[in-house]
Amino acid sequence: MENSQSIFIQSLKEPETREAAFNKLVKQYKERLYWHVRKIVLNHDDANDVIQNTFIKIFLNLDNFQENSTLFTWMYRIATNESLNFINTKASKMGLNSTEWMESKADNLEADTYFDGDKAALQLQKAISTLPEKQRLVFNMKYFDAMKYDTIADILDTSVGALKASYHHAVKKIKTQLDDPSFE
Amino acid sequence: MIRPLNKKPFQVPEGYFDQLEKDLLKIGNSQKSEVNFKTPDAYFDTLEKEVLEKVSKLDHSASKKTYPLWMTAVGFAAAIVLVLLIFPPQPMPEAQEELLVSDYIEEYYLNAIDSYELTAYMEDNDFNMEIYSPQNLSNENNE
Repeated sequence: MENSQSIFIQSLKEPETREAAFNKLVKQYKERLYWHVRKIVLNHDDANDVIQNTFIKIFLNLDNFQENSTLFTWMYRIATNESLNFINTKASKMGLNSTEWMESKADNLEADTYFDGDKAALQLQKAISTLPEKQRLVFNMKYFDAMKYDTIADILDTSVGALKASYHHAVKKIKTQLDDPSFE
Repeated sequence: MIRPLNKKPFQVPEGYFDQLEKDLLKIGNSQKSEVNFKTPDAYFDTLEKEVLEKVSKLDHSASKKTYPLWMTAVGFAAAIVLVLLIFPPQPMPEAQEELLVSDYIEEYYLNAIDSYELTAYMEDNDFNMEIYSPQNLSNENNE
């Protein structure tokens, strides 16, 4: 007997029911995917661009979805890749690497209208921005989203062991930075 | 016989409340970043509308171009037949064909071969010695 996800996926693939099903998909996942993207790119306008491209990509690739993973992890994967591509493209245009670009974005948070965190929150975001790409992603998904390692492994297409190591290193680096009185 | 009342008739798994506290803290933590990041008012309503509009345009433009491949192939073949009917290819006159062949032989074949090599390919019976007979030569001189 088909489960509800399989039935929903079928309705996404059938031309007659696709539009209604996709409307439902957007309604259900827009906020969750947006916040995932926002935590990666930091800025609202950038997140808006990325999330719209993400949903368009999801729509265009519905027929290619093989159900090897859940719909949720598949969409998260697309959102993650779109975010990283966005960062890499922007950084490349500015002649920076992605970490340098992220650090500059974190520096701009203090003046950002759509960020109202206190000093500690600001320092945390700056510390996160100094992490390598994978550690940054794992940290966001584990610390802020409280995702299980299995789910993160599916999204990032990596092993649970590698993720645990990445998270451990990320936490250690962030702690070192936050404990450093000269770190701002 | 009336059994004494069990004040705690329901059971929970061992360590349940410890885990519950941890799970609740995790849920609280998941709101951390969202608390610090903000969005414009009614952003998510706007986002939904914009995404669905863009996707709707994609869907409609894709549906206009749907022709089966066999129809495209038939159309192409029909166009070729029409052109051939209007402009039928003309057969080449025999003389023209011979001229082309001899031009080819002269330009590409004979020029590449030394005259001495050429004679090597010829056999004695290829030469008509009659034309070199004294009588024929004499007749030529008189012409």
